[in-house]
Amino acid sequence: MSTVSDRRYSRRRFLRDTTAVAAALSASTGVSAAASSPSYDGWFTGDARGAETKNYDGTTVDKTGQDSVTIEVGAQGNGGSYAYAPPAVRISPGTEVTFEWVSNTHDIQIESAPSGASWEGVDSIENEGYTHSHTFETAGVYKYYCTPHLSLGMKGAIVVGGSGGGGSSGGRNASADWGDWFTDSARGGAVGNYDGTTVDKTGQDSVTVEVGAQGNGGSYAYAPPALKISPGTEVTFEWVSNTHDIQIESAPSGASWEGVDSIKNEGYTHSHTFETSGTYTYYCTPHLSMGMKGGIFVTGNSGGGGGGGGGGVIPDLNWWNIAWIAGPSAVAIPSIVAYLLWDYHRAGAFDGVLDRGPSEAPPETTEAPPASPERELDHDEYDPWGTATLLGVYFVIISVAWALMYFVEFLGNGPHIFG
Amino acid sequence: MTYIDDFPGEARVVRAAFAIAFASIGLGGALGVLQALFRTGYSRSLFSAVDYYSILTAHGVLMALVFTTFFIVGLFTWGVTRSLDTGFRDLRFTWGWLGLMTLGTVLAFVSVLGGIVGWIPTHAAVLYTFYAPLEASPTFYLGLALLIVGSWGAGVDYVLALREWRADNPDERIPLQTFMAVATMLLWFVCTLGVAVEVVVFLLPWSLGLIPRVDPLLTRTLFWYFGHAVVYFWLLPAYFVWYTIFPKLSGGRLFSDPLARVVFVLFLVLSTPVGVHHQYGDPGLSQGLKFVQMTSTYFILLPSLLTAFTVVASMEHGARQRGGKGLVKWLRALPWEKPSFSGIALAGLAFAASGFGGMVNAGLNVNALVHNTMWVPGHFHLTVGTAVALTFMAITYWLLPQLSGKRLRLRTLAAVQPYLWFVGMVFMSNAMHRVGLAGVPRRTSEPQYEQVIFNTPIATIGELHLQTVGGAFLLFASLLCFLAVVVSTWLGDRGAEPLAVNGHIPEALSGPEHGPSILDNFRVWVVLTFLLLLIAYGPPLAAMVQNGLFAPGSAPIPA
Amino acid sequence: MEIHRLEKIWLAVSLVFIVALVASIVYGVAGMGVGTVGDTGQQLDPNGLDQTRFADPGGHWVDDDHYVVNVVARQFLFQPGTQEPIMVPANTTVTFYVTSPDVVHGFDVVGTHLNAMVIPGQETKLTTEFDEPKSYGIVCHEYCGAGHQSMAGQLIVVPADELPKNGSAASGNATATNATADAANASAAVAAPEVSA
Repeated sequence: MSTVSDRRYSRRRFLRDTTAVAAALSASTGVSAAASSPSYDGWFTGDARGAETKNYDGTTVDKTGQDSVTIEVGAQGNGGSYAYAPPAVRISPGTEVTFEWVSNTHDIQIESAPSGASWEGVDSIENEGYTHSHTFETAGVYKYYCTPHLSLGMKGAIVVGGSGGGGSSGGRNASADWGDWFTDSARGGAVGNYDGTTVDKTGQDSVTVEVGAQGNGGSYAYAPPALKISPGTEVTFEWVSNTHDIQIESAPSGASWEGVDSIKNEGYTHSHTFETSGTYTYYCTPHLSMGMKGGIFVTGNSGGGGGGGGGGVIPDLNWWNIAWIAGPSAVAIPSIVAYLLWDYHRAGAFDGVLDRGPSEAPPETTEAPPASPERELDHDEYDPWGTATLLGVYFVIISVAWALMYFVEFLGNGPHIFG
Repeated sequence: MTYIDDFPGEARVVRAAFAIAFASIGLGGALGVLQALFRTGYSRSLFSAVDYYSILTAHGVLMALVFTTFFIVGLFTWGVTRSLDTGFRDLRFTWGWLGLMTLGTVLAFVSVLGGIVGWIPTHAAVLYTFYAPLEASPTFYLGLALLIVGSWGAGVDYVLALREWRADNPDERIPLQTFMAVATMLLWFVCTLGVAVEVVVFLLPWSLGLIPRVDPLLTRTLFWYFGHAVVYFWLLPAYFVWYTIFPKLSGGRLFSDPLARVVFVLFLVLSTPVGVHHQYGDPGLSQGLKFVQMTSTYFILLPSLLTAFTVVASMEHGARQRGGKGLVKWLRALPWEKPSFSGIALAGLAFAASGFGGMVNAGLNVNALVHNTMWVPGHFHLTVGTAVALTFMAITYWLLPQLSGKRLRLRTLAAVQPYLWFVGMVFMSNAMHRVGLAGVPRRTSEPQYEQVIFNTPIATIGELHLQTVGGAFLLFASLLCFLAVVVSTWLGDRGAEPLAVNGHIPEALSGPEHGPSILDNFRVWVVLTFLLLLIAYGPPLAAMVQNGLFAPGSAPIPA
Repeated sequence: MEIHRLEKIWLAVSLVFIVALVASIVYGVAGMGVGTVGDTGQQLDPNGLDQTRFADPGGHWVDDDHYVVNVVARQFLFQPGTQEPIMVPANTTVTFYVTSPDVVHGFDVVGTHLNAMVIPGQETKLTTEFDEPKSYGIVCHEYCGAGHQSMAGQLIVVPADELPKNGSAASGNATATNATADAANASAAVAAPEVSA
């Protein structure tokens, strides 16, 4: 199965572009409850088992607070009816999830579950109409897949509970999810100055983050480490101690922030206006091992603070846009050119240019003269003995080949179909 | 004077048909290289294992349906008007069917493209056999239907031209080229009935949601009613070239005109009641039925074996007229440096080799050795991919100057091209046959499995993959040579230089007057064809529709 | 009609050759019993397989010397075959029944001459006998959709006494598969082409 997994495909890249825009658009209108984009450690990419999950567009559907949630098994996606819909869901502990089979031949194999979890998935292949329910109590990330269609990317994930501990003060409408970025399991280790709180600065025009603030065993902290802002907010990073930079670990696709690539010292500042919604994580190269990491979550609803220009998200130039522009122009431009040519032609504009006037007959072609044979051989004086020889040889070859193929190779070896 | 001076309007039709044929073989060939690279594992970064099937579908449709059909209607348009020495009555009708074929081609191709290009809302990764219940977008089926209906128009044109000619020449024998073209188109009418019913009655309404279910076995059987006869629709135009032009290219004359007619009549009668030999492995069809159609399949070897004699004897006649001597040495007297000759001779050689493969495919039980393995594409790359395609390319070198009034250019490239194709195909086809014998399936993007080991005697799978890819590149290089010759000739000036060829075709050594006149009576042969069809296909089709046209039924599963 | 005498000879040779081809097939079919898939006369509703022999796919003894395996081929697995190997006894008549609830599939046991199509609504019946314990791969060789290239399985031939014959087919089915799966898995896990007896 690993044959499919470790490659990159142009189609996938293409889909990634389009879905990213779609996600950005839906996020900007607030349709999707996309709160955050946990990375799931690449579970939905082609790097994990099976192919990339194409119906996962980076959105985790937030169903927290609901008593029951439905996931379709065998929905359209991944090149057929090979998708869990939605592929990634966030729920609160105690939520009952019902899996409904909407097409045939699928199961639910669990790839990973939090320790202590009791969910066992559905081991047998089931068909349309089948349902399976489970109440998820244990918090954490559950990853699962469909055995027959793993190679097509039929994978799913359920996140139970928020990632932060204790009382989070942050979430008004959308809560940031940092995945494991601030924990031990991400590179660089846990972030000492992160206490699970995401500082909510939504609706503000500008926000300041200190670089090299006290924390993590020295002046090795971004303060605040976790920040939530609205799109269009300008964030200013102020260096308050020496030898730090800002390396971007992850950013939403289409984001333009590049961080600060070189090591800077106290007094340096860097500003960036965040337009693209999603989760940005970053770290300091020299002090990563100390846990000097940070995150910025840009919410989807730009209108929230009534801030800047109405435009919000500007989709990148991608295949969609090219198609919109190129499609009509592919029709329009040739039509215009054809019309102009026809019009010029009618007006006789080409008569002098092209040597062939309509009335002028084309030059006549001269053929090669028929060759006369070296010696004329008539019907009665010709016996095709050469042909007979060649065909005789051919006959012997195919007879021997047939005997070898049929009697030796085929009938001589089994097992056969006996009726 | 050459053909374009005599029939400028028809020459334009032929050139248009050829242009589409050459565009599709160019595109289809490029896709073929991509497939070879992907399947063998040499390069899998350009597209995904799933996209492979869209590309395979496009390759099959472009090569086997578009290239062949367009070239054939062009070739026959030339042959019929030339041999009857009369143009078509109304060229608007002719342009009409050519336009319909083109529209169908574009629709079908764009539908397939939708599987790769996201913003085209179609899907048609159903391969060239489009077995239900895998379902393509309705536009794919519609496109195929238009392509076929358009090609019927060509047949109508030929039959009308023949009737007109017959009215003026009541007692003459039908000119051989027209006889062959009409016999082939009659075969085409008979066999496309099956696929037309499959597409128009079942698959198109089903993909539109008008009928909920179709019977997979019934639609499949209707497909194969067409699916093997279609190969004779490709092959007979090549035979048309071998019988009527090749002897002249060898420097001789056709050995026997009556036998050529007998061969075409045999093909007309026997081609269709053989389709079940593609379904030996199918459940729901009795072994008795399979045996009956196997017998007719083996008997269709007969016209090809007869062709081997007549065509080689005609070639030998040419060699002896050119001063050739001896039992085998005469072969050296032939014009091997001329691509129109060498291409056809090599095509014939490839066909002789593939005849053996065909014998294995056709055997009721031995078919299990190779059914749906790589052997099968190995086989048809020799037959349609070389015997037919190389003949078409070779005769283009002879025909295009007469159709355009332009002397052939890049002649050295042209002289090399058939050999390049032949060598490339020997490598590729040999490797495909051999991995097929090891059990490697066809139509699979990544033929490697955790649980399966393929044992190849002699060479390893890796060596055979190298052969496949190397062969594919040689073939593509040959194709580029061909296209370069065609394009640069096309860009030349009409009438600027005398042609290096002439359209004169010498009479047969044994002329049509030596054969019985019943050979020219197509009515008899068509009636006989339908009688045989009734025997071969009546019982199974009746059994399948007995319990309902749409049962046991399957709903569409989009592919 | 005038035909050259050499061509008459060739015509005769060709006819003899064709008859010989047909005769050699007849010898194989009638003389040695090597045929192909036929018509069982049984048609199925692809959506209602639970009413048929395919409700609980797997192998069981129907007789002392006759073992039957019901296989469902579906997008993109064989049941059994893909998730657990098909176990069959050596030196015993084995009949496979194969069907499909979705699209057309292929059933090709690589390295044998067991090669057939699987068509929704029809049942493919293959009767055969395996001489020796051995492991084979099964490949779907008809394009069946986006995951076709992953559709494969395994067939393991074991000595007949390793497949217990306990009473009724229904209960014997489950135990037979479970009892031997472990033993066979151990030896065949690496997909070695040969499994020693």
